[in-house]
Amino acid sequence: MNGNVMTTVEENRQDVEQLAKREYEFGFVTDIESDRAPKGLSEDIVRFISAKKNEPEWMLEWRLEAYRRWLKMPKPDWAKLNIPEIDFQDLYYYSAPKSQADGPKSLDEVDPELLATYEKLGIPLSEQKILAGVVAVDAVFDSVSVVTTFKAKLAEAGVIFCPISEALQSHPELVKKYLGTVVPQSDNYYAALNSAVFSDGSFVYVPKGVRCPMELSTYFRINERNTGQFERTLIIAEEGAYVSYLEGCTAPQRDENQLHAAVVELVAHESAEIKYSTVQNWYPGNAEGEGGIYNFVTKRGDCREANAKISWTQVETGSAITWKYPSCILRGDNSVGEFYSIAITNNYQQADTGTKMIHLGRNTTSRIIAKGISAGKSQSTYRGLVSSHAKATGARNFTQCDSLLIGDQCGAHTVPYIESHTPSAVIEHEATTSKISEDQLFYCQQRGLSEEEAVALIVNGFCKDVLQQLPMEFAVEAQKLVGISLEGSVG
Amino acid sequence: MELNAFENSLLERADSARDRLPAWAEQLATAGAARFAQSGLPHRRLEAWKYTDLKSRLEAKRPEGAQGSRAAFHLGGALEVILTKEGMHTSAPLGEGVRIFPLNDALTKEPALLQKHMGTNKALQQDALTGLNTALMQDGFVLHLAQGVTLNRPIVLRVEVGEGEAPSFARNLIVLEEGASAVLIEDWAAPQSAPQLRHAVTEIMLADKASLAHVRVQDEKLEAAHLSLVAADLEAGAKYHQFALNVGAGLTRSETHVHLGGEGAHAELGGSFLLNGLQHCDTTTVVTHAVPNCTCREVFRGVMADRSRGVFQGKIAVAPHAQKTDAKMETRALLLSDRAEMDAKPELEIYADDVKCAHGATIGTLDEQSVFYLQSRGIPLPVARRMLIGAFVEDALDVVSDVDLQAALRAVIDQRLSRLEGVAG
Amino acid sequence: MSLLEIKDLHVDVGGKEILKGINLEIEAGKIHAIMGPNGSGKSTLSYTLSGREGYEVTSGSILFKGRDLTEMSIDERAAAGVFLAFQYPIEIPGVTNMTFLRTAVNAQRKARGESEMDAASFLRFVREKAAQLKVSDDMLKRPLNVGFSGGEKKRNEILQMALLEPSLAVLDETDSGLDIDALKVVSEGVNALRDPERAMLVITHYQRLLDHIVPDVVHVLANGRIIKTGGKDLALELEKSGYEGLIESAA
Repeated sequence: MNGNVMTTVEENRQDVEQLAKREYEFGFVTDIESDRAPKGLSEDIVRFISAKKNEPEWMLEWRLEAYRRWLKMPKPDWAKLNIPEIDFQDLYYYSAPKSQADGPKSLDEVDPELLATYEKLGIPLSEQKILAGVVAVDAVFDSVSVVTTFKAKLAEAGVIFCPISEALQSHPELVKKYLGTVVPQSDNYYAALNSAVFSDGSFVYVPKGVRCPMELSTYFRINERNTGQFERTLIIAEEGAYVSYLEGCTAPQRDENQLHAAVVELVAHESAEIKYSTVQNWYPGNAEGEGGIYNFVTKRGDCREANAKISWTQVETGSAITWKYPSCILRGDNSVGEFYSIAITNNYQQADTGTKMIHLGRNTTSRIIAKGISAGKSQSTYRGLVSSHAKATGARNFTQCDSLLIGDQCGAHTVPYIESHTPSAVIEHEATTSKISEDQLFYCQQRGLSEEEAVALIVNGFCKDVLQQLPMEFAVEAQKLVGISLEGSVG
Repeated sequence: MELNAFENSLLERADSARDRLPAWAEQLATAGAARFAQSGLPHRRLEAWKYTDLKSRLEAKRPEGAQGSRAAFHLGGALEVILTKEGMHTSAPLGEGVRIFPLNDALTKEPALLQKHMGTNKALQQDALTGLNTALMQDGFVLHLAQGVTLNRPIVLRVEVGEGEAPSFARNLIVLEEGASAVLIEDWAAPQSAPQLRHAVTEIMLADKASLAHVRVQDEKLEAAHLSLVAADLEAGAKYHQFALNVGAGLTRSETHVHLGGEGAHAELGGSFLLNGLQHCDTTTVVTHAVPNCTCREVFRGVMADRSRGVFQGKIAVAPHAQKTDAKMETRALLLSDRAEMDAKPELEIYADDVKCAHGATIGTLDEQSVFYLQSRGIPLPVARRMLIGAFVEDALDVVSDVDLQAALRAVIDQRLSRLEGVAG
Repeated sequence: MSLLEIKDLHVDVGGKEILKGINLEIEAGKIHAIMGPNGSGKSTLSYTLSGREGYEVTSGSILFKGRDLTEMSIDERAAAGVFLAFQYPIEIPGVTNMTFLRTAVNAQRKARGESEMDAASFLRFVREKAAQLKVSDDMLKRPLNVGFSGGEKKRNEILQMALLEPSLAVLDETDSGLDIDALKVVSEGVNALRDPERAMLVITHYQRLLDHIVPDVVHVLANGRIIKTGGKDLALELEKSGYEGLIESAA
């Protein structure tokens, strides 16, 4: 029985009603004084950020090297995206809420305004709420991590979950050992930029044999005007460890575009498993295509040793432009990579997203389920690479890409690259395109559903294979978003 | 763009060859040469040539050797047309309303027909290699069927006009007027003195309800590079079937663009590539649904032995408002050796909502269980493998509806399979 | 006052007039059958009653419980109590039957200002009704109508009717695609839903359904008009003499 699905459709309707003229629900601005670096990007700004964080010398050098490489790199232009020129000198690269400069030690020290913001976002930030939800949260507000809850309980299990800036102080050897080993500084233009100027993000370390006792969660929010957000997340699961990590994103509504360029690195050692789930709901811009977040993200996981498993699940409903390919390097024998994706675009949104599954080890398997929904005047592209190298004997991939079009003004595209050097590998790819049929809508409406409820129900059905991969708390939110994102797309 | 010596030599040849052309064609040739001069030979940084770095591959020496199958294509009862330097030879008279010319004759004798159609296909207009072809076109044929004419037997066409080992640029034009219908087989089995590089552009115009079954059999010698580009324009209710069998040449690019420009038009593309040694074969298709209610089907099968590499790029594009499009594409490939490679990029680009589009691609090897099953019934391993590979390739032959033609193609496929590394066992 | 009052109803589909002046009154508690040959406008009438797009009322009126039905959207009509059992029920992949049923029931309850049912009481409610119609738990868990046999689809339609408790049920060719056993189960389900407050409009080509669901009134629809109205015996008469004679004598 799908109790949660039913609840959600109900909740959907309430939302639809409440938000009949709703634009972007999370588009409020928190009024907090912030501590900002001067506008623009230079070696001095990189030094400024590093100094602010009181980083070790090697970290500064690492950033500077990334910056120097970035200066020489071209912007990627192969995606099916129309990206306006971005003036990288017209952005702020560091912005911390001022009252947080010294860093809070406990929830009591956190600025009540910030807490109120998270309340509005619906994040269960206060300890009591979390106890009920059993979720530990690291909240990243513009560029710095505000508070990480549940540290004590995690510490008991030996799990480190803290802002990466803090990890650089408390566990520099771990950060140094792993940072940039999955996504090198010069991996691509946006990753290089991130490597130079990242200001915070989450750090997770799960020791050998430990099953992380709760879901870990980070909420990202861009608040400051003209501020780029460059968070960097690093998750390491030692032999036999397990961790499930959730990431949520929102941003206030603004006329101008804002830049978000994150890097996420996952390392899974022998028999370790990392499950990474994202619900991305950055401000998508208004119905005329003004404003919205540019979301240029590099996410990659490394199944470094045998029997490791990395699973990406994403629900992408926000952002004006999404450029994102969470990938798996299947290095260890028998390792497993998964990518489950829902990408919804409406109005003038553009999304070019997918995954790479690189089969290097023997008997590695990967599975890709991608559901794209395009509405309005939006464009949605699935782009993926499945490659199996000569030593990946017995590798197996299955890919299913389905596109659903709503209206005749949008586009849905599928661009898979399949490269096999391995005779004993089996790679299978299937793709389909369809629309919501008028018959389906009529049938639902005849049973009493409004047109928007009918669309939400049918689209949720279309996405079911992906939605059921999400942890329960996220699944409910994601189902709501599916309906809300498509408001006004029919009729 | 800095051009290399080979590219410059091609351009020089184009300069000196131009004055033989009538004024209208000279204009096209000049524009074509200019287009080529701008970008030169395609290379892997161009998305459409990602897996076939033509520029560097043409520089590299290809191994010497005879052609792929050494089994000549033979179709009994067909009308044979052979183009040689001396002229055109036909095995029997052409019927009423059927005209065929060597390109060079047509340039002077049929200027109106050529001017009306040559270079009008949009897919060709931006292509640098086609520009070069236009500047250097010399070999090739022009086929015209008048309204309502049905060819009562297949035409098998052989072009044997290369000038020794110099690159040959063939340009073919096929025009079927309303309701006309034909079966045409291009047989590119290389004679001994074939060119090292052959580039053939075939433009096809199918008027309302015209129907063309088009087969290309390519079995050039291994030193050769065979590059072909077929661009077909279909008007309402027209049908185009193509089957491309690529077994020869060290380097092959078999590229097809179909423009479904009239409602009810239907395209069916199929092909097999059976590769050995260091052969590299790239099959690229682009089918554009420009108007509503058109359909297309694509079925390709590749078998890669030894160190060969197969490439399949297939794109189905649906223009805005091309509603009720129904398009399916399927590619499957078998790798028979640890060092063989297959790259596939099946692509959908869709701008209309009421459409049914699907593609599937699989890469793998022979199913061991099936092999075992056949063996357990007393069939020796090599025979079992041959049977299964033959059955695998067979699916693509469905595009060809004529049974005799199917059998003739199957004979070439069988011959070829028996020479693939690791097939005969 | 009648539950449903149709007066001089003209309906165009795709610019062509299909219904050419229908007059029909149905009182609560009654079962009316509409019989007619293919193309007579039977399905057009059912789609027009439920408000499907593309079925344009060019003149005439439809009053349901005294309200002008033509002014209401599809889901408003459903909430007001109009139910259409589809001739060909629609498949919706990924949405389980159970989810769909509960969404529909609660959507209508909410539209009528009633409280929504929680998961547990809904489950009890469904199980009880489902058992009567031989709808298995498995059928409730599967995606809506996907892979259902013809009989399963029709039983599922009647289950929805039982759950939604409409005041007017329009059964469009409910017997099509059913064998005798399935027809019996479906008919029993329908008969169990006979109620003094509920009217039914049974649309069918063949008389055999009316052996099982016995109507109070039978209408013959031909060429967009009701050409004859009578009691249940009219159906038997038609079975013997066919439509043609009747149509000719009406013309």
